[in-house]
Amino acid sequence: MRRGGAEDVARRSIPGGTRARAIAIALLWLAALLASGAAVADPGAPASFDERVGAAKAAMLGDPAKALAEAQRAERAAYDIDASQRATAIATAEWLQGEAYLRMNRIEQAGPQIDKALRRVDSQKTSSKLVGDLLLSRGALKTQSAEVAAALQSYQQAYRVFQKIGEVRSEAIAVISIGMLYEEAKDYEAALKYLRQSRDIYSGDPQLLFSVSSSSAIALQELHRFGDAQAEFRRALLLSRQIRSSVLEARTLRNIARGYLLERNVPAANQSIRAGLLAARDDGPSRQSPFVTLMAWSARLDGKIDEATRLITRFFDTVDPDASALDLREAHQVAYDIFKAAGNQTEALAHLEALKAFDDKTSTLAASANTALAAARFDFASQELKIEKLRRAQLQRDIDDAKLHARTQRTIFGGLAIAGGIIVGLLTFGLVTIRRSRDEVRAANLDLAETNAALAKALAAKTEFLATTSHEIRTPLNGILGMTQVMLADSAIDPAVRERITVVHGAGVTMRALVDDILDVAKMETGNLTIEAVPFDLRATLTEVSRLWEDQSRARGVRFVLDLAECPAFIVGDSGRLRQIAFNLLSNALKFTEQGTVTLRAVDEGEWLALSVADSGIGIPADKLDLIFESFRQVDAGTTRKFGGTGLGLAICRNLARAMHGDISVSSVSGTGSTFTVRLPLVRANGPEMAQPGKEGTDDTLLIVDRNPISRSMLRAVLEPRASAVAVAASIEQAIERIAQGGVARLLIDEATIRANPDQEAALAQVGALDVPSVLLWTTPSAQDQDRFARAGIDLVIAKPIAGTTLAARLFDKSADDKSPISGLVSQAA
Amino acid sequence: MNRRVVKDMLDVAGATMTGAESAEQGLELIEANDYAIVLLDLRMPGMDGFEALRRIRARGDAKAALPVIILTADTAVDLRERCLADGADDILFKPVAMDSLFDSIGRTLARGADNGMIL
Repeated sequence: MRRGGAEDVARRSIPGGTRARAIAIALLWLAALLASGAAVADPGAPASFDERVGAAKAAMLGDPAKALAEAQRAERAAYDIDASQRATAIATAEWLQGEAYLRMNRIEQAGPQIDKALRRVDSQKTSSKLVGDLLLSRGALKTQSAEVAAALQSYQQAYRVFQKIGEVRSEAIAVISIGMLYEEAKDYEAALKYLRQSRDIYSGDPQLLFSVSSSSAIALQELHRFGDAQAEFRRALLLSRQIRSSVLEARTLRNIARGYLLERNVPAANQSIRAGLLAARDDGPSRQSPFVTLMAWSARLDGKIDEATRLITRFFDTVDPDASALDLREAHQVAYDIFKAAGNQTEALAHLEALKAFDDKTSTLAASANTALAAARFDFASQELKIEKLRRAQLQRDIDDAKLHARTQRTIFGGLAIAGGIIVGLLTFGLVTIRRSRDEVRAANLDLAETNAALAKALAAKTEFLATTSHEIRTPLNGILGMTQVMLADSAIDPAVRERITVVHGAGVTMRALVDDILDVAKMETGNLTIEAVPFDLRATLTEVSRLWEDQSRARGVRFVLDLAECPAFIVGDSGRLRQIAFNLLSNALKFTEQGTVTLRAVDEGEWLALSVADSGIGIPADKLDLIFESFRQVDAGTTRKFGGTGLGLAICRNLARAMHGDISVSSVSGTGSTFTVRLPLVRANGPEMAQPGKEGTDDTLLIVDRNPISRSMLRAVLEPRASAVAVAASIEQAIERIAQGGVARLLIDEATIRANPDQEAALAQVGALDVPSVLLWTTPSAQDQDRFARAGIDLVIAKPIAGTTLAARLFDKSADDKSPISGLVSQAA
Repeated sequence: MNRRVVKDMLDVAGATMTGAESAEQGLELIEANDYAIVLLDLRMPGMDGFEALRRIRARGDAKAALPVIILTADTAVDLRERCLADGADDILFKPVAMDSLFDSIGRTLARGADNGMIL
């Protein structure tokens, strides 16, 4: 089923239809469709359905009421079709009814039909031509009821549908519809863009091309690009002859003449006028009267005021009640000019007033349409959330019951016909049915302020949206990660189950990282980033970071090198943020490197700290080096598919670097590797003389062994301030492992850990046998207990309950107690 | 759900937990019973976490010094400062890592260990 045409396009995109020129194009349009032919081709449908549909289409142009009746009959007939085709058939019938209502200007009834049909077809989940056509119809509907944003959306949806099913011609129609919408809203640049695009999509139909040329020319004229406009009109003229339409030829010649008049080229204009009159000679006075206006205009330019007056008076004396608003406006314009030149103030004023009335209405219309379109465009480019918000804040208009319904043609061509004859016949008919009713353009009550506020809100909504989303996601994430952690902490879990839980946990962790990244980006964009400046151990921080990545890189077979040879020890800065940068860079490096080496290097460059990550990965093409730092950007879509990721890492790095008064740069050779370097102002700090990379790794580590994580953490908190270094273990096995790594000077073990073993004595013996002096915390040990402990080899027993400070003192203050294992007992609560 | 998660986590560490559905209920429980530590969500129906915290700190008795750890999914920039200024002992951001929870509880309890006991 083919439908839509120049007329349809024009109808669809003209609220209130004030453009006679577009009407002509519209006329052409349906002819265009006609010529391309098309039968319903529903092989399984009984003849009566097809017949009805054909009849409906044939009647649609001239007699929509009849078409409606036929469509209704078709719907009834559709119920006899077998189930597989039925839904489509019914939808088709509904669609035709909708179109018929539309052409009869019964919008309230047209809408439901179209919607019904769409729902019916959607339920089949197909992208079919019918769906596309329905969307085009909806676009027209929305245009008719001045819902410009919705019209645009429908056209865009239609476009996507046609694109998907490869219906290039209908695609082009959708695009042209959009272009005309913009033209009506006086956004001529946009209109031209779309019209041009339609030619790229499909240029095989001279009638479509005519419409495009005509519309483009009009837009160009409005943009005062007269030369270009004339060129397009001439192209349109050739096309009109190619399709052998004298009506369109006449109209185009009018446009060309007008163009010349605008350029004040009287001879050329006259020539065109003559040619136009010739082409229109068979078409009756209504086709010819617009030329009278032009002739008057031409005379005026030529200085022949009297003749001009005569001509323009003739126009108004014999004004065709069917004259379009645009023609009338033009006539008033010319009349004003002539009478002014003739010195006839009264007449001139009268025409000026009439003119103003036109202008007011049309510019209001255009302004509102344009704003709506701007809103829709913004809308279309952003997320659903915003689309919803803007739809709600849609322009409100008061619409007078339209006296001005420039009824442009709605026709659906039907059947096959000999192009020439039918075109002419249809066009003539179309002319007759143009309703230039009266001049009330629907007055629109536009609340521009409302729309602007909505737009501003929508922009702010983006940031709010990001923050809210991240918050909303965190809560369920807490549930997921919380429980996976709890499950993983249960050692009794079956290994296969544990593995699965680990996968879930890993996924949850990835999600959390993503949410954090998104939130960071949102914060950065609203300037809510805080950077600390405290002294910290840079070498330790980087060592820690690299430890995390060493395993990962080994697993991938990539060598990892940490080069801190020239790295300053202590600096003032934000260790967390620096870690974040290093993390992101290393993550990228590893992600894009399959073999070779990844190097993390920090260099003291005097005034600057240069932190760099070099990899031997796939590299980055030179023209993308800047692009990759933008939010959500990766080198190309293929990268995302292959490597995953959100494209936020580098954006975050850059934001952070700049927030710290530095910057990030990259050098890369495609296929060889990349090096990312972050340079930050270097502020040195004083740290302890011994380059202690942290609390671990010295020779004086206190190892705390406690199976209960909370009390483990308590002990650590109490003792860490006093100890040179602290390590923790959750079991005797872990303690043994840690001791093997070296550096442990003393071990503190809690009662519960011993009691957790079925064979306590063996556990005690294990501890006692360690190379390291052991301290045992035990609740009120009896004399027997102490014997046991001593025999097992425990060096010191400290009784619980005990205050934290006391414990610390016992362990770290030099006192005689430390020497004697057994007598070091029984300290009290403070 | 959050309460359940925290409860299960604490189970791992052998701690017991009583949950309250609202700040009002929580305050009542605090009044009636002795707890070692309070885990407080910021967003609750009715009275919010800040108000609850203030009320605890405004008590005239020993319970005013109850250790309070804030658990929240909010990510406002100055949230940590605000909470600490209002008298919270620590703040944890959801999703909470179990180790972080234990660490925080341990550290917070240890701070009071000068006056109190180590278990």
